[in-house]
Amino acid sequence: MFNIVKEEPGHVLVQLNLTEANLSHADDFKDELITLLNLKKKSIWFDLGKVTYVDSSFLGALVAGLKHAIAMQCDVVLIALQKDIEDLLKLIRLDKVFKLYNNEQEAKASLL
Amino acid sequence: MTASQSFIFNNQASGISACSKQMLDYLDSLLATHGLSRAVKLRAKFIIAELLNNAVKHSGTEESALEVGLKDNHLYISKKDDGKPFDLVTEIEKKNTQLMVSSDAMHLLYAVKKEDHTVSFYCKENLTFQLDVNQLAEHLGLLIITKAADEFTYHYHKPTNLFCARIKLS
Repeated sequence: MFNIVKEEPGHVLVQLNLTEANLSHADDFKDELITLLNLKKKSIWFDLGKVTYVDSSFLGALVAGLKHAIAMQCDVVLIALQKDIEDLLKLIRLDKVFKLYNNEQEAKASLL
Repeated sequence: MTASQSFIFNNQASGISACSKQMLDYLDSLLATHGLSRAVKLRAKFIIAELLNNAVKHSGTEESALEVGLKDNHLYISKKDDGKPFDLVTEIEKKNTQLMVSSDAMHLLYAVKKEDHTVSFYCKENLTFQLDVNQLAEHLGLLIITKAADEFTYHYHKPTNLFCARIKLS
């Protein structure tokens, strides 16, 4: 479902290999995200550039993963969101919860 | 101008993409003939995805009937099934009284009784919230539909559940 693109001291960059991130994938995604957080003990930066749509079940899995990450003093960051997905996050104000960046460079710059 | 089309959904998660595509293709045809904007189509897309999600998770039946239509300068999207009823209609006894359906750090979602068998959902935003991720909801479907629609109602008349979202066309 996702693969690690690279690992840096403070985070792991992960590519989500789905076009539609929906109910079919939500439970497995949540389990894999929590497993990855427990294994790496670092923030996870998700590149969602290939994803054309997410539904509420998948967003719920992302929120669950974020809760797990924050409890570990880590984070779940979303990168390269397509416009429809960004609009959905804004509709339910999750853009105020997740850190959103256009690309990895922008995310890195925010750390400086 | 009036136009509508019905779609039968098999209530399987694996069928969401195909049914969603059929419905969005029909929306595109409406877009071509009625000039629906990107904003309207996007809101409709959110609603369709969540109604299909709701069908898989909660209907408990083998299929649901969905409909997309235009009438009186409104876009309507509805889902009908004969599955488990949502208790809201019976829990709220009097007309115009309300019940909190869900709440989290950012939103309060209410259902208010409109008629004997109908409730309407509405949402209040907490604009001064202190962000605590542990106070965030993970079940977001009804919230998405409520915020994407101009009106979102649930009607139960034994044995049929009917969810209907309406978007006003500007």
